[in-house]
Amino acid sequence: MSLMHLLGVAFALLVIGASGVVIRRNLLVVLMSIELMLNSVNLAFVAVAREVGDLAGHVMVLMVFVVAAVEVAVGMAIVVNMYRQKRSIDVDAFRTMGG
Amino acid sequence: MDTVLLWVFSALALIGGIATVASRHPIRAALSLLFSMLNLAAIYALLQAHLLAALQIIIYAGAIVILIVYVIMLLSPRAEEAGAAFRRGFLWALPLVVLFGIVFFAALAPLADSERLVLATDEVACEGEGCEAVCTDEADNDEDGLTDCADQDCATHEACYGTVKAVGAQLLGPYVLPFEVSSLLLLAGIVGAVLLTGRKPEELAAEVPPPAVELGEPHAAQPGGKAQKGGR
Repeated sequence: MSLMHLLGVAFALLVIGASGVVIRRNLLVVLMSIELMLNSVNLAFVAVAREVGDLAGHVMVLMVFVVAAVEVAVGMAIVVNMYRQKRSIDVDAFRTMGG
Repeated sequence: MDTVLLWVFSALALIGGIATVASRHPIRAALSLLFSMLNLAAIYALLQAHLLAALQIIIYAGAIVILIVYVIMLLSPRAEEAGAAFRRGFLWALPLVVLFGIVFFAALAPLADSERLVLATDEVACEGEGCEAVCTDEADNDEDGLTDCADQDCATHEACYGTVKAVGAQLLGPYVLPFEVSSLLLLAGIVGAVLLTGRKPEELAAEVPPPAVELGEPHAAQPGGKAQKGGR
């Protein structure tokens, strides 16, 4: 399995996650899709680090872990607040800015 | 063998991702996400990123997915939100997403005839003469009090690549500044989450405590007796 195959898998995961962000109505599933996209980037980092035999990619993945954890904590807080306001977590319910 | 396993785990990770996006029920989506994460951890292990494989399971499967599941159970006790799971007009969005993917795969085309193959059993490039003999985890060949994997020049050798010791030496050596700054990011995240979900002290003070249950009077709860303080 070559680097290109692994990067292909990573890109496929990225596209799946992006489609989830675009087409889903449930805000929680949108956040899960963002996690999926972060994971695809991690896979690309690990694959390239393996190819070039360097550990900098692994350190970068650790940073992405930190960002993902913070993102999900703050994101869940925002979701809970949005639910308190409108009793719904449908992204289409939040169009007060005219979107 | 490793190649077959890589293909299998890649396919399973993609299936988990598709199930995450496609399943109507949020809990099912969260469990599909967990499945995808575990398969990615297996891929990391096959790519000799041992520390990352363990952290993937601990952080993603153990923390992030659990947090998501908690919030799902907190917010939507009903099985399904009313209406469709997908936004209106999502059939128009799908071709655009596929186009997005095609552009990405086109960017991969120059790599298609790359001669170098990644296999978990391949040797990682070893710099310098005789490093096969120098870098082992148990020995301390340059006698600096650290075993070899903790030394910078052995970090990418086959015996040390991706281990806790080698990645830790990188993290606390050349990359110590990003490592420390990431703790600031975590702190900001904690403060943000508490500020966003917590109530203000005056709100808590204004909140009337629920009426005490009076024992022996089963019909004490008059219609007006229970405080109507359900709203936030």
